[in-house]
Amino acid sequence: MNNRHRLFALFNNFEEVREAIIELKVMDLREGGVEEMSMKSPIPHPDLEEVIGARPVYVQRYTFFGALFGMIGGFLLTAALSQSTFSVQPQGGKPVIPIPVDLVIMYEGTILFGVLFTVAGFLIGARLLRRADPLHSKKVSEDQVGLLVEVQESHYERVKELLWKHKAQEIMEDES
Amino acid sequence: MEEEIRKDIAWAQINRDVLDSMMAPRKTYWVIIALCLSIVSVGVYAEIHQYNTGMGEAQLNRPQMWGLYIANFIFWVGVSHAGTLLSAALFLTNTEWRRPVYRSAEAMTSVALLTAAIFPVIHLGRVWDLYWVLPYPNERGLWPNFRSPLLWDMAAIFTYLTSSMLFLYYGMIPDLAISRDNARGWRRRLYGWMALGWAGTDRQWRNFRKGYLLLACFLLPLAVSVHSIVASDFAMSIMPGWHVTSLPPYFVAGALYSGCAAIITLYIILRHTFRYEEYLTLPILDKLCKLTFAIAMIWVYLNLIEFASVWYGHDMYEKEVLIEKAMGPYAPFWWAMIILGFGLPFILVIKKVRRNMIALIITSMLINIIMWLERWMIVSPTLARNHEPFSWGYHWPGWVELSITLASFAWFTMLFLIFVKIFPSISMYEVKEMLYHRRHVSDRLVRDLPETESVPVKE
Repeated sequence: MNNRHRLFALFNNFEEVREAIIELKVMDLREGGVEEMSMKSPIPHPDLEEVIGARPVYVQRYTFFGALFGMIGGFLLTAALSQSTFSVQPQGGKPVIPIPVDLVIMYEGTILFGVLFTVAGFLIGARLLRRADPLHSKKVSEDQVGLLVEVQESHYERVKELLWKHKAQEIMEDES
Repeated sequence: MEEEIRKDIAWAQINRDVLDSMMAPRKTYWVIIALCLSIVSVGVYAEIHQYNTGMGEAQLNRPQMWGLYIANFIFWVGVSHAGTLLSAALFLTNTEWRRPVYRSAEAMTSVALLTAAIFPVIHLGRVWDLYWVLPYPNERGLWPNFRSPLLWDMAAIFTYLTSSMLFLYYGMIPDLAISRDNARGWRRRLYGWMALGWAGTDRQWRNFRKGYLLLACFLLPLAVSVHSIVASDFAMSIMPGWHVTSLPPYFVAGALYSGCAAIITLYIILRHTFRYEEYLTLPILDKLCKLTFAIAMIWVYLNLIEFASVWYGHDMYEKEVLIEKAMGPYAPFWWAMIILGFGLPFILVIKKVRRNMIALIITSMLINIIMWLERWMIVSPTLARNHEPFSWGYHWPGWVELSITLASFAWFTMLFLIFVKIFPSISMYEVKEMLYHRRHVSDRLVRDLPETESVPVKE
């Protein structure tokens, strides 16, 4: 079976990373060998993310269902509590389930659970709260950009060479 | 005038500047902390005295059942508004100068809400019965009645506190990772735990951006709704002076006014005590002052239409309260609020004032004192002149209320300063992003400039 290697190269700027990614993609299209590619950077860089390729983000789905849950929950809470109060106090002709009150609590419930679910969606989507990746450098949180490439053993040497060619400052490795 | 943040500043230098300043602030920091701590001690003593003696110590009696504590509560909820609201609004409008300042503004929101949350508890008197307001099954059938605006208030403020703190924390995660990578000892453990394993991967940034945008979209209407709901505590009643349609927007404008002034005060304190002159620049302060002026004018306008609608509405009870405010025993405070509240923002129009730290800190603190007076002038005069002349009565705060009020200011300042000492109050990654974009945009502009032919000068 073909072993996989993980290479983590550090670059001085985004331009060098862009060139390296493009060449890696061309190589992968021609002969395969590159399993996975991702970037670690001190700031977000949407243009380079596009070059790496599409990765769907599902946070908004969590937000939608959270907001819906909060809205329905807010209605049920006020309606249920109105009922329970109704059994204790006569309402004197007032509606048992008061709509204006429901609207206020539903509004707050929508936002509260929308926010909570958004944060949960982010934690899941961003794959946080997991064991730390051994291929990590403090320099990424300063001023360097990291490129993480997962390659098959057959292409290991060539990819490494390619990364050096694009002025990688340092390459870390991990074999799996 | 100082320029914007230098474009050529190294990114590693930004990390060092922010993290080193957190470790070693100026001596002024410790002086302010010591001062705040001593004032808070006086407040704690006053609260213990009130707890042992009874609520009579706070001059709370019919008809003045709310007094200064509820005025303080709405004041602090108001102060909390500007932080998150401005941060979310400026983020959605892609305003660049937001980046160095938004973290401290959001921290101010959370700290102000934590200060506000103390007052309903103090005002409750029977502190040990606080849990009665929670909807939990109990044998007495004491379910909270959500028809009361007070319960809406609790729901809104709980939502706002939770959401603001999450918004603050969420935006801080990349910076916590930077701090984790550079800290030692307990700080490293704390940041490591709070950074949740952030590594700055493109997957993380993609999710982060989307989530932040969604949170900002929620926070904007939430902030507006919270103070509107606080205003409903008053406007939903039939009390003269409170039963006004324009009260919710009036509350929101007043909240933003005092909140912006508080941001200016804290901005100057932070800039000085943590040596952030490079990042918290004068042009940003200049923009904050202009924003405060604009919001102050909205507040002035809402005041005027409120007076006009009361005066021309010819409701004798409403008119009586307004006349009482202007000519009764509360007149000096009310006129101080009107004259200074209307006039002080005009000082901010003067360019020289906007560059003078001493003048700005005095003006911003005065604005907040005025806005605090405004809150008191909402609560007490109406209760003093309600519909029933047999229960008319004035409220003059005693030493207990005044000590607790003063202590709340010290508590707020102290909590804020502790926060900025532990967590990075300037968003390092956003400052880097701002500089990166600025550099690239200017480079691109220079590169893309069309080559112009030189026009010969006519002789």
